[in-house]
Amino acid sequence: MSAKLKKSGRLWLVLIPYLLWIGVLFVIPHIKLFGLSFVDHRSGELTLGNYAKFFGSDLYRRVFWRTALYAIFTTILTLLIAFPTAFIITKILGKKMKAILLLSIVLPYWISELIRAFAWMVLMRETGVISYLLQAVGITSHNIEFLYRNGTIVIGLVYTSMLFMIIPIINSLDSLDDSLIEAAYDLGGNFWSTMREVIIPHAGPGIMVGSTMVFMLNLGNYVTVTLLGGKNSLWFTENIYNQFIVRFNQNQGAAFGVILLTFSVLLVWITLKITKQDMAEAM
Amino acid sequence: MTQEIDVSVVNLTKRWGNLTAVNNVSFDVPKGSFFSVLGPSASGKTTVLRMIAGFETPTAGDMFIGGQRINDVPANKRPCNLVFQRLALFPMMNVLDNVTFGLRRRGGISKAEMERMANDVLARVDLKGLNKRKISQLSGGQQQRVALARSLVLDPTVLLLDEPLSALDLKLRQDMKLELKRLQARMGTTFMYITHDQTIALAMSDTVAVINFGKLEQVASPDILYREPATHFVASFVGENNRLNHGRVVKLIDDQTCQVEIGGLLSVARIGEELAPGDDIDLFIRPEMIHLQLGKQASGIVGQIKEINFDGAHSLVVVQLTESAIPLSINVKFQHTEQAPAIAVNDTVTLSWGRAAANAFRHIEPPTEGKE
Amino acid sequence: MKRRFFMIMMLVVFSLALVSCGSNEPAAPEAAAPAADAPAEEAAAPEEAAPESGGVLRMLTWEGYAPEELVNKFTEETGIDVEISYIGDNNELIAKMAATKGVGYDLVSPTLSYVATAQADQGIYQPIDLSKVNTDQINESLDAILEGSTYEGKPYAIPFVWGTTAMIVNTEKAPDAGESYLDLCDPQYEGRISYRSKYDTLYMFAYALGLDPAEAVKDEAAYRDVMDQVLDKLVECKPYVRVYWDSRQQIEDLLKKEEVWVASSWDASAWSMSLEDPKFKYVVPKEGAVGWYDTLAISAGAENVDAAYQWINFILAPENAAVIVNQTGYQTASAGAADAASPELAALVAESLPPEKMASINWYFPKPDYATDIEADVEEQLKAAQ
Ligand SMILES: Nc1ncnc2c1ncn2[C@@H]1O[C@H](COP(=O)(O)OP(=O)(O)O)[C@@H](O)[C@H]1O
Ligand SMILES: [Mg+2]
Repeated sequence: MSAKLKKSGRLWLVLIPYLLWIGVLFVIPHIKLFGLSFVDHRSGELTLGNYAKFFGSDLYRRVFWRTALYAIFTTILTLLIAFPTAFIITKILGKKMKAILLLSIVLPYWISELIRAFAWMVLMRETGVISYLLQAVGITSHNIEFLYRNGTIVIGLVYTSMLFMIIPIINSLDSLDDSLIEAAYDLGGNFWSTMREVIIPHAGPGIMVGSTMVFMLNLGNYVTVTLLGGKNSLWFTENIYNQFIVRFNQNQGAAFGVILLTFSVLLVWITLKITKQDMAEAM
Repeated sequence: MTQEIDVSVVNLTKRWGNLTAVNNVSFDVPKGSFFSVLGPSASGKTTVLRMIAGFETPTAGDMFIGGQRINDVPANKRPCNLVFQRLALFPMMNVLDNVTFGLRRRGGISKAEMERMANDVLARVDLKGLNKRKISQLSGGQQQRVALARSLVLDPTVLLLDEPLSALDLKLRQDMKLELKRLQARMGTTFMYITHDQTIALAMSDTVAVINFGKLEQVASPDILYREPATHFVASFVGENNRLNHGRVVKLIDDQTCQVEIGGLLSVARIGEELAPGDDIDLFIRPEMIHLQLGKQASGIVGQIKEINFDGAHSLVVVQLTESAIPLSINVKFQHTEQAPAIAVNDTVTLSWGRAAANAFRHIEPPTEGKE
Repeated sequence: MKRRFFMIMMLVVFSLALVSCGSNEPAAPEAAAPAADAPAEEAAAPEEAAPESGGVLRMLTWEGYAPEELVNKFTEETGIDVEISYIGDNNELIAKMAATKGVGYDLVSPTLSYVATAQADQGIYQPIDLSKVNTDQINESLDAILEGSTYEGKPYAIPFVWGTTAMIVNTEKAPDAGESYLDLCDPQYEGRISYRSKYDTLYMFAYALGLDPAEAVKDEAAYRDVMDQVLDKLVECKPYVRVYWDSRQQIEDLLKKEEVWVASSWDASAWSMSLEDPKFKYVVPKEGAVGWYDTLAISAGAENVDAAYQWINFILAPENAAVIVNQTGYQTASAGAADAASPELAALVAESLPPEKMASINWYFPKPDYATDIEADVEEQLKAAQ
C-alpha cells in the first residue's frame, strides 16, 4: 500500500495538509521575520543595525547568555530526572503501575501552563503550602519564601517540560529488547557499563529528540519564567516580547528572534555532532 | 567411570503463582559434553536455563557449576554464558565490539590482546574480516556466529543456548546444527542446549533431558532415548511412532518383554514401565522398524495399503489392518532398496516387527485438541 | 494600437490603486462618507436613540469597563448586540488595532496619553463628531480631554474613566509609610515592598527625586537623563522589593496574605481593599498621585459608527456610569455619576483625594516614540540588574 502510494507519486497529495501547515505557519513567517530583521525600524532602509544593537549591548548579551545557560542547565536536569523515570516505567514496572505512572505524568499537561504556574505559586509562596508544612513538622519556625528565586525558575521549567523529555525516551527504551540488557549482564556487565554501552546508546535518539524539544521550550518559555522568577526573571523572550509589544520595533524583535533561532539550531547541530548522531536518525 | 560434572541441578523448582513452570528437576551435565534439554513449548526449558544463567530465582532447589553453588551468585558473576533465543546482539556496536564486550568488563586485558582473542574466536566460528561490520549488515547465520563468539571468547565453564537456531531457515538450520556440534567437539566447552526440536537434540547431543510440564521425564543418550523410552511421554515425543491405544497385556515373557493384545491381534513389546497381565496399555511402534512383505504371509499382521506417500529414500505407507476387531491403521516407513518389492495402493501386505520396535506403556488418555 | 495599450495600462494601474487602497484603509470611504453627507440629520439622532438600528457593536476595552448588566441594558434599549474583547495594556490595544488599521473593532478605550501619538503613528482612530455626543452629561474634564486628544486640529477621544496610582499601605504593619514614594525604597520594609516595573513606577520615582518627566519628555536626551536617574534609584531599591507586580489580582493577593505591606496601587483596587478591611489604606504621598484618563475612541475601521456613538451616550448617562463606579471603584467623566455612587466608596474617595490632592495629580503625558523606548530600556535594565 505505502509502496504503491510512493510509486504513484500520490504521496505528495497526502502530504499537502502538512506542507501547507508548515509552509504557512512556519516557513513563510520565518522568512518574513528574517527579512524584517535587516530593516531599520524608523527609516525602512536595509541595515545590520538590529544585529549590531544586540552585539553592542551588554544587557542583551547578558540576558541572552543567562537564558541560554539556564535553558541548557534545565534541559540537563530534566534529562537526569526523566531518564531514570522513563527507565523504571518501561523496564521495571508492571503494566498497571506503568499506566498509572504514565498517566500521572501526562495528566498535569491537561491544564494550561499558566494555571500550572499559578498552582506552583500557591505551593511555594511565603504563606504557601510548602512553607506551612515545613513549619507544621517543625523544620522551621517562620514562613519561608520559595518563589522569585532562580531555583524556582529551574524547578518550574523542569516540571513544565518533563513530559516532552520522558515520552521520547520511553519511546526509545520501549524498543530496547530486554534481552539486550540481560545479555550485557550475562557477559559480565554491571549497572553502569550496561547503561553506558547498551541502554544509553540505544536511547540516544530519544534523548536527543527530548533534549532538543525541552531546550527549545525552555529557551522560548515566557509564562513560567516570568511568573515564578519574579524580579530577577529576565529571559530573552521577554526582550523579544518587549520589542514587538512595548516598543513596536518588530525589526529589532525579528533580529532577536533570528539570533535565538540560529543559536538553538547551532547548539542542536553541535550536540548531534558530538554525540555522533545524525539528524535523520535522531528524528 | 567417574565423570567430572560441570552443571548440577538438584530439585530445582520454579513457580509463578499457581503455575509450576519447573517442577523438582534434577540432572547432571558432564564436563565437555553436549547436553540438551528437550521438551514441547512452554514445558519450562527456558525457565531452567534462565535460572542457571541467573535471570530467574528458583523457588526451591540448588544449582552448581563446577561444584560451586551458584544460587546466590549474581548473573554477571556466574561462570556460564547464555546465547539468547533471539541472539540479543548489541545493534549499536560493530562485530568486534560485540565480541569484546565481555572482555572489556573483565579489565586487565590490553586492547590488542582483546582484539587478538576476538579474532581467534571469530576464526573458530568461521567469521573473519567482518570486525567492523554493523550487526544489521550481517546475515542470520553470521549473526548466529557472532552470538556464539561473543560468549565463547569468555571461555565459560558452560555455554547455555536457548534454541538459537530457531530463527534460521531450514537449510541454514541444518548446516548450523552440524557446525555447532563440531565447534563444541573442537573447543571442548560444555554446551547446554535447549530445544523443542527432537531431531536437533538427537543429532547433536551426548545426553538429552526430556522435560514436560516442568517435570523431567528421562535423561539419557539419544540412542537410549530412542530405543528405550522411559515414559509414555518420551515414547510419544521422541522419534516417530505409531500409537495404538487401549491394548492389553496378555502375559509377561521376561522382565523386559511382554505379549500384548490389541483389537484381537497379538504382538510382542518391550515393557516400558512396570506392567502386569491385564493392564490397559498404549502400544508405540516405530514405523521405520516395521518389516513389510507383499501378500498374506504365514506369520505377521495382515493389512491393506491405503496410501503411499513418496519421500525419496522411503515412502510412508499407511496400512489398514484387515484382521483387527477394531479399525486400526499403522504407518510404515518403507525403504526403497533394490530388493524392495513394488507396492501399490490396495495391495494386501503382511507387517511384522520385533520386540525392539514396540514399546508398551500404561494407557493415558490422549490430550483433547489444542494445548492446555 | 499604442493608444489602446495606454488605456489598458491606465485601467490596470487604476484598479491596482483601488485594491491597495481598499486593503490598507478599507473602512475609510464608508466611514467618512455618511458623516460628511448627513451631519444635519444625524445630529438629532442621539435623542431619538433609534432602537431599530440593530447590528453589532464590537468593543476593545478593559475589564470592568463594560459590565454585563449595562451591556444587556444597552442591547435591550437599542437592539444592538455587543461583542467585547479585552486588553491588558495600551500597547496591546495599539498593536491589535494597528494590525488591521482598526478593522474588526468599532469602539475602543485607550488611555488619553496614547491617543494622539497612536493616531499620528498608526492612524487607527477617526475624529469625534461632537454633534453626535450628548456633552451635557459629561463633566468639566471634557474640554481638557478633547484638547489632549487633538491631532491635526481634530479631537479623537471622549473622556470616560479616570483613576490614579499612588500607594497602598497595610497600616497595621507599616503605620508610618505613605509620606513619600521613597517609602517604597525603605530598608525597614525590606521584602515587603512591591510595585510594577512599568512606566507609572518610573514617574512616581521621578517625582520623588524632584524630577519632572512631563517636561523632560519633550526632549529625548533630557528624558533619558531623567530616566537614567530613576533607574539608578530603582536598582538601589531593588533588594528591598519582593516582586514587581503584574496584575491587580496578584498585588491584592500579596497584600491580603501580608506578604507585602507597602505597594504601589491603583486607587480603585486600593479602595476595594479598604472596603473589605480598613487596615488597608490608599495614600497619596506628598509628590502627588499619578493620574490616567481612559477615553472612548472610534476605530478608523469601524463598521458601526452609529452604534459607537449610541454606546458613548449610553455609558456616560449618570445612572449607567454609576454602575461602573460601584463595580470597579473607578471614577468616570459622567457629570452626575459620583452622586449615584455608594456612600462608603464616596467617603473613601473624598478622604484619599481631597481637593488639594486632586490638584496635585500628575497626569499621564503624551509620549513620543523615543520615550516608550527609553522607558522600555529602563524596565529591561532594572529587571536585569542583580
Ligand atoms: N516471567 C514469567 N511469569 C509467569 N509465567 C512465566 C514467566 N516466564 C515463563 N512463564 C511460564 O512458564 C512456563 C514455561 O515457560 P518457558 O520456560 O519459557 O517454556 P519453554 O522455554 O519450554 O517454551 C510457560 O507456561 C510460561 O508461560
Ligand atoms: Mg523457550
